[in-house]
Amino acid sequence: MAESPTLVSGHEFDVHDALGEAEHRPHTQTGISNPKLAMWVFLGSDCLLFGALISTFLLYKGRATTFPNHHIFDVPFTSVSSFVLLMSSLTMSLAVSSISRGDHRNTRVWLMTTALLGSVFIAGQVYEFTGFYREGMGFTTNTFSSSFYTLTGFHGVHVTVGIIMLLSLFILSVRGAIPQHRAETVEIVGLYWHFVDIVWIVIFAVVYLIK
Amino acid sequence: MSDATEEMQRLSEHSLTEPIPAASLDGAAHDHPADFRYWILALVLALITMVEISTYTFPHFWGSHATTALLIMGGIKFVLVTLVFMHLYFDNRFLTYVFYAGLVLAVMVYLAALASMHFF
Repeated sequence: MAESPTLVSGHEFDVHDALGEAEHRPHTQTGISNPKLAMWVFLGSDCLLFGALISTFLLYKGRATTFPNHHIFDVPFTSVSSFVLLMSSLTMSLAVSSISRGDHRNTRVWLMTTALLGSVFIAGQVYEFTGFYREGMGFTTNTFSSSFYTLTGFHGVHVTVGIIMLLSLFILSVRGAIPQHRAETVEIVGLYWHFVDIVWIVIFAVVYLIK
Repeated sequence: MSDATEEMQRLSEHSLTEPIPAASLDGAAHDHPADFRYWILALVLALITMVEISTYTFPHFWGSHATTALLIMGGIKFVLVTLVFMHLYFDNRFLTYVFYAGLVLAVMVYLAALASMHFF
């Protein structure tokens, strides 16, 4: 059997890896592995969680007639945070792309970059929350502040969990525990990370930009 | 003969000089976009975000259309990320149904909830 890689739809592809993946691929009726399907079902159900939190915020933000209200936001600062999170989706995609090519070095580089960008976003959120608190906006100050902290806090927890998963993947990759035929593991964590990003796309528009 | 053995035999019989169609691998390999497409998408998303921010910095230019424009731009970004970064465009269509079923359910339920509380 030839050792050289061949092409699959324009990408270099090693037949041995294809055979390895065929051996490891679970036999399901849908042709989709159970972990991947489970992640998509989880993400679909997570839409309901964030839908509830966003709806609650929308309902309560208009009822807060006294300070604090919408005017407390520092939109330019949050725009930079949003941009950082958006770019982390790019680096996550590059990590998935690298592992599917068997490029483990770049996989580790992009995984760590994604985790760092996520950490910058979380650091920005902590800075923002601290500033709000110093200006007198506590969790129980009014319905606006409670619903705001709950919504953005839940999102922050999701990002933090994502960072932990990325760092775990990085350590596993360093130990050589993620061979190319297990690229789907990185892809599944990537799905979670992209979901966190698209939720922020909605939160940024609804909470910060729409007055 | 198991499915995996049949697939290995089919692959080994394939000429190694020709590209193997990803479809014939039945999920063993997916068509993923090339990396430069990810960069282009990231650029497009960054540009849309800049336009979104302009609704805040130039409110008089957008006027009463700002909210509608923000919702449309947010929707475009959402769909682009799910299609390309999350590979829904390239993956099994069933995954699209699973995810968007949850999303549509969430939107319908909470629109109804907001309407019942006289939000609109």
